[in-house]
Amino acid sequence: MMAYIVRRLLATIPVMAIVGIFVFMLLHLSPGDPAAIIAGDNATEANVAAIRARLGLDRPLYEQFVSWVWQTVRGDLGVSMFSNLPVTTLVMQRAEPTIALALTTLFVAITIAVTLGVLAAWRAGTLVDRVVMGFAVMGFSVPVFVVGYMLVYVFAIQLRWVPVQGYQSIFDGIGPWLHRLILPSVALGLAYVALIARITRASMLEVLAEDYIRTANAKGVGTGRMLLRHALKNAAVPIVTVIGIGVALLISGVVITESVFNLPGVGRLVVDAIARRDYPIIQGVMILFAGVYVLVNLTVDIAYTFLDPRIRY
Amino acid sequence: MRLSRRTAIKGGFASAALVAASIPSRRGDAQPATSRLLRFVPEFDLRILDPIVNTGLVTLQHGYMIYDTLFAMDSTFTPRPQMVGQYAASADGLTHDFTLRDGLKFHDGTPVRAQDCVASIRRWGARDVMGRSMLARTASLVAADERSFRLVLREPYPIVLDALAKISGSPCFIMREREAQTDPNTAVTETIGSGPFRFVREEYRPGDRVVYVRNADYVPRSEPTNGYAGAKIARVERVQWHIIADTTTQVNALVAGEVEIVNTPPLDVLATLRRDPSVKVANIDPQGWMAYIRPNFLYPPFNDVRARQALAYVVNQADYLRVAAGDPANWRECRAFMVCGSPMGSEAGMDAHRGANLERARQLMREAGYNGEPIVVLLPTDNPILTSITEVTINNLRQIGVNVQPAAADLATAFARRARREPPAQGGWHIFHTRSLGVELNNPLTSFPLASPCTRDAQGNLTGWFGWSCDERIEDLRTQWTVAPNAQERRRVAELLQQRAAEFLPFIPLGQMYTPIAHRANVRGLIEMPIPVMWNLSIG
Repeated sequence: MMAYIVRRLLATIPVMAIVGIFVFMLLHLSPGDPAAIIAGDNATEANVAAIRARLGLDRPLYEQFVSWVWQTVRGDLGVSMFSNLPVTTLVMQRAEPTIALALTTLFVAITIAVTLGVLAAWRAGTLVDRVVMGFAVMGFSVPVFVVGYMLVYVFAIQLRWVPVQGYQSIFDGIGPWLHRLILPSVALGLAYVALIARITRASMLEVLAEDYIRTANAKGVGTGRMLLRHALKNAAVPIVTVIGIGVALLISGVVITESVFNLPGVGRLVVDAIARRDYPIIQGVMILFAGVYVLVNLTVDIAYTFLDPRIRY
Repeated sequence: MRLSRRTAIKGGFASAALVAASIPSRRGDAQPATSRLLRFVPEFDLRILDPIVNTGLVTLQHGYMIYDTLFAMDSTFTPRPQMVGQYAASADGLTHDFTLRDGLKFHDGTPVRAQDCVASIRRWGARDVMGRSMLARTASLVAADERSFRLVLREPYPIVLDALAKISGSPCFIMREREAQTDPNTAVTETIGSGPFRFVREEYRPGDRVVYVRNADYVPRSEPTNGYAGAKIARVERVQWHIIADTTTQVNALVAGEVEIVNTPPLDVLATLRRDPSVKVANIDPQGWMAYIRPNFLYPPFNDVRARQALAYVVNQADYLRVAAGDPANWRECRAFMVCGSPMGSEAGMDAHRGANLERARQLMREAGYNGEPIVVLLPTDNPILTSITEVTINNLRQIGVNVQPAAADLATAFARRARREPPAQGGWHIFHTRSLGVELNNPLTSFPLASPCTRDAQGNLTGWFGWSCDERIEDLRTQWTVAPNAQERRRVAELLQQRAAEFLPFIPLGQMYTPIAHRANVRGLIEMPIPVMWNLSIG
């Protein structure tokens, strides 16, 4: 197992390298000039050229690439062209809201979705099943920003139960922290509820048709115990796979949710950076996202061995 | 120890109760009717902290928070002393003596010295058009002692005080000498000024929050506040800029009382906001913004004045303004190259362009030799105002048989492309649209699209603004305006300049738009000037 983990971790290096090359080339070969944006609308060409020279953007592309790679392998993601702050500082400032949103969303989504999925499978073909699946289709179909604005209108503007926007650190208290994350987590989590609930239902239906479940029923095992201990554990592998895939979707969903609820997270950082062509931020964050995604997949693979002892690496 | 189900459930309820108890009891983030905290939503994020390098509105507002100016414009746009206590000019207008008033201190506690002012003027003069124009005529600029300095000109420059008090682009903000000695193309990252608010670096989070606190050492002038002149009194202890990218969320936060001012609310919600008694919508900038079409003068057909006239003939300003600004309360038709409602504003020479004349436009395009070649129009897709006005032009040009080739891209890409001098078919362009602050265009010297220099750089390229218009007559009139001895003479020259611009058409005016600010009803003391500032504001 350990050899497998080390092998997988080593395999992240070429993956990150490919992502790095791809992102660098894509950015530098696509049009857009950060120097023109820094200089402003009424700048002269001479102003823009001077700023471009100061940023090193007038150097040949291969020189810029080599210098970026050298910086990155030393753990230095560079400095924002606009704020002059190190990219690592900016990412650290923004990491907490994004991690908090992702974790609370996963918690909300998994808790609700697995419950609904199990319920739908247990009551397959009944009204309960249809309602749950209808809810799942709706969750898939309604965009995150629509759900977000609706929740804001009802719970923040009309009822005034929660704030419209903003984030408060968990270090300022768990209550205020949760208070600001409830709506974004629900808005973002809805799509995952739909996704995970459908997979849970399908997987549970398969398992519930197995002989050992019939045997457990015949032995008089209670419904709750039979569903949760005997069926759900054996249905968990596809569910965990979908949760892993969901993390990639989550990264894109986080960007929209952060904008609607004004959470100062990494998603907004990178979107703002793309609009301005702040190359060091875009490159740095993309490398980090790639790393996170690789690690999530590794975690999912390892989780299989705990859920199904037959799986060995 | 074995955890029973009952214990687990009890524990769960207890944890939930604990969390619920720690959730703030106050609803949302609304604050009491009176407060010493002002929360402001700027139009964009504050990324560049140097208002000399970057001329964007948000960086400019940041500049007004922390820096002070030697002179400031009052509400009639007349320059008044601000940091300067005593000022004298020689009878021939060539020698100007400035003495700083008492008690001026930077935020680090050091006194503001004449040397700081001299260095700041020099750096500003390397970037700003009025500064460049003034320094080009300067024989010497030296500090006489710690509190006074002298400017000696080689030739008369009657608008010295107007230049030092200029509002937009890069105002002449006074920095410490050490920052002011930074290369003018390298952004200063230190944020120590002598203005009414101090920047709180520890709380600066780009893309999220910018925090300022009242500068307790600031000594306001004794005169009452008048425009940007007179007393600058910070009436709140703390100003927080909340960076909210999504305009709907900005408005929701204002309505819910989570912020006090939104600098640029979306125009389509203004009517809704006006109906909300807790919110007020105010147009504090009577000159607003002017939208315009900028053709490329380097290539046919728009290097021919007849093609530019055709472009002017396809414009019916109301069509543009309706799609860009909606409610007629938010716009006015205006064909003045130096902005309607400004001292230099006149619509002389533009009578023929009141309303579109497509037949005349078609004929003029033919006369200019246009024969169906593709016309590349830059179409920014992520700026609703520029997108909509560009689409109107595209539609109008197609109506007169022009083969339009829209180059759709985000604003950053369009910005980069408009700097390219290559022929339109090889990555260049024919037409772009933009809008600029009226206060920037109302002065022939600072109006960058009006400027039409025929000077060339070392590579032989024209040195003007993107589009590269070149007209000796306009440049001659701009120079005459700069050295005109008084306001009356400046107005006379401005009238001639308007008439020449109407003939030459360096750009095609599309009218003026007002972008009001929205604020909570309990915010008092808004200064009615083009750039919203935070001094004088109070809550409750």
